[in-house]
This record gives sequence, structure tokens and C-alpha cells, in this order.
Amino acid sequence: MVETLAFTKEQVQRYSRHLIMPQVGSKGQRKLLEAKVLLIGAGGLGSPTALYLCAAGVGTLGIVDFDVVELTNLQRQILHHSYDIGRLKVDSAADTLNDINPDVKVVKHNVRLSSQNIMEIIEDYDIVVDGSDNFPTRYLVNDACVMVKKPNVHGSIFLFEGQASVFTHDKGCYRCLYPDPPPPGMVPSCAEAGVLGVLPGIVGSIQAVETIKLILGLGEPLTGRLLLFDALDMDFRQVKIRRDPGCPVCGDNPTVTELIDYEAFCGIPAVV
Amino acid sequence: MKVDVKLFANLRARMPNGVGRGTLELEDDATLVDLLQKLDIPEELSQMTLINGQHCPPEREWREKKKLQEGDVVSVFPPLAGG
Repeated sequence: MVETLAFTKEQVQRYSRHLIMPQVGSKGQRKLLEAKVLLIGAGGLGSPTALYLCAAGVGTLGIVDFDVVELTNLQRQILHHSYDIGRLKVDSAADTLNDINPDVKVVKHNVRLSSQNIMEIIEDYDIVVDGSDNFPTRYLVNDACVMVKKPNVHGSIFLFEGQASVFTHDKGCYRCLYPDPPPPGMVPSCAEAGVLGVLPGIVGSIQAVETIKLILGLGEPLTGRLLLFDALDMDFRQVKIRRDPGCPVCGDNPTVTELIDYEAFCGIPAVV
Repeated sequence: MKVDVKLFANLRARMPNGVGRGTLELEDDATLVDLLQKLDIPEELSQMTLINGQHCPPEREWREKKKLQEGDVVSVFPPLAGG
């Protein structure tokens, strides 16, 4: 017998495949509807993550992006359509998501993330999902999440490869793996070198699964592990990671105690 | 000594054949640092290096002392920024 916990008739049908799962059920679905998730970027990774979290009934989805939809995005950014070209990505994303599930409140953050605004944005959310496309933003998001102890569901892609992990302040963060951003020009961007269009669909979907597991408290989160994906060999491998006591931000004696805007360091500003 | 090398993402092009996979001939007493230098892979891109699937400590001192063995498989996965 499925308890309904005051779901509408439509919700009972919409979420029926969740409600009949003992691991989710009405309590789990209620948790999803009450969850607040912030997506950093509505691009390649943010698209599948947003679509699946929305369809699953995650009640509040914040989206940070100040870009506009371009034709070159459409090979992989499945939140947006040809008729959205030229529109703000947050507007395009919100329309797509509202069409899929009107239960979900989409909060648009049409801003450029910086050390000045990230804290006030993430304070309203339970979980942060990093689908940004540059190192300055990744370090900013990592440091902010460590400082306020919010989980950071990480995904990154390039060419045929992807990485995913869940960083928490007590089980290792991005800086435990990569203490500082690489120097400008050492790692080309997807715009410079390309990315297989399907790749973010896989990695972004993994981020969506991890986010839902965190909300529901199910299974083993991808904390303390880095998932490495190679689409060419269709190979997934995991590397154990652990909090580095010498980490500059989550270590025992952190040296990064204030947020850093790395744009000067990396050569490009933190853009999502 | 021959070791198998797998390079990923933007490092693929650093293998002589350009596809990021292959076997390299090294001196018998070659260390991990020798291999990374031969491939011109800087420390900033080689934190995630695996020997036979085991993650290597990032410390340079450890890597300088780590002697490779015939048939080792060395994989290097650089940080990725794209999204």
C-alpha cells in the first residue's frame, strides 16, 4: 500500500514509478519535492542533470548561467532548442523544465559567479552540482562549498573523457586532487579542442544520480572516489581519494580562507 | 624495458602515435618521473597517474624514486575543465 502524503492525483501518477519503489516511496518523493539543488551552468553537463532532476520532482532547481544560447551549443546542450538561439540560457532552461514538470520551481540566477555573490546564492540550496566549463569557476565553487559544508557534485568533460565525484568537506575536495588551477593555456577548453556531444549526457546523468542519492540518503555516494570515464574504450574506473590533511582549503591548516577569483591567474574569467 | 602507456584527454597527443596509447622503450632503471619527462607531461597535469590501476602519490620525491617494471601500465588522466 502506497501512502500518498497529500500528493495530488496527478503527482501520484507522475511519480508512480518512484512511489512503488520501497527505496523511494512517498517519503522519498516528498524529500525530492522539498529538496533545493543549485546547478552551476546550464550547458552540456547542466542540461541532462537539470532534465532528470526536474523529471524526478526535485522541488527547487536553481540555475546559474549568464550566457545566451548559441548554435554551437545545440550539439550537446539538450535543454535548449534551435528556437532558443539568442535567448538567455536561464530563460530557455526554465521554459524547458516548466514544460516537463510544473511541480518544479526554477530559480534563475542570470549572473556571473564571483567571490562577491557565490555565498549568497548557494546559501539557499542543499546541494551544489558543478557543471561549469572552466577552472576558475570550479575552484570558486569548490572552495565555497567546503567553507559552508555543502556537498559539491562534480562533473567535468573533455574530448572523449569525463570525471565525476561528490566532494564533501570531510571526505576530500577538488583541491585535495588538484591543489591549484593549471597555468593559463595548459589545458584547452572544449571550445578550443572539442567534446563528443553525447559525453556530457553520460557524466551529467551520473551527477543527477548522485544528487538524488544524496537527497534520499540511498546507497553509497561517490564521495572519497573519483570516477574516470573513457568513452573510446567504454571504460569506467574509480580512484580512491581521501581528504588531504595538507589541502589548502579542507586540510587541517587551510591557507585558502577567503574566496579567490582566479581570472587573472587562469587567463579567462570565471564564466558559466 | 618496455612499459605500456595510456594518456587521456588533451594528453593523448603526447604519445608518438597521437592516439594516446602505446608501448615505450625506457632505460631499465627508469622512474615514473623519467617517463613523465620523456612524454613532456608537467606536474600540473599528472596528479592523477596510475600504475597498473593504482593511484600514485602526487609527491615528486615518491615519483622520483618509483622504479618502473617491464610490462607496467602507466595511465595519466589530466584535470578536465569542460562542462
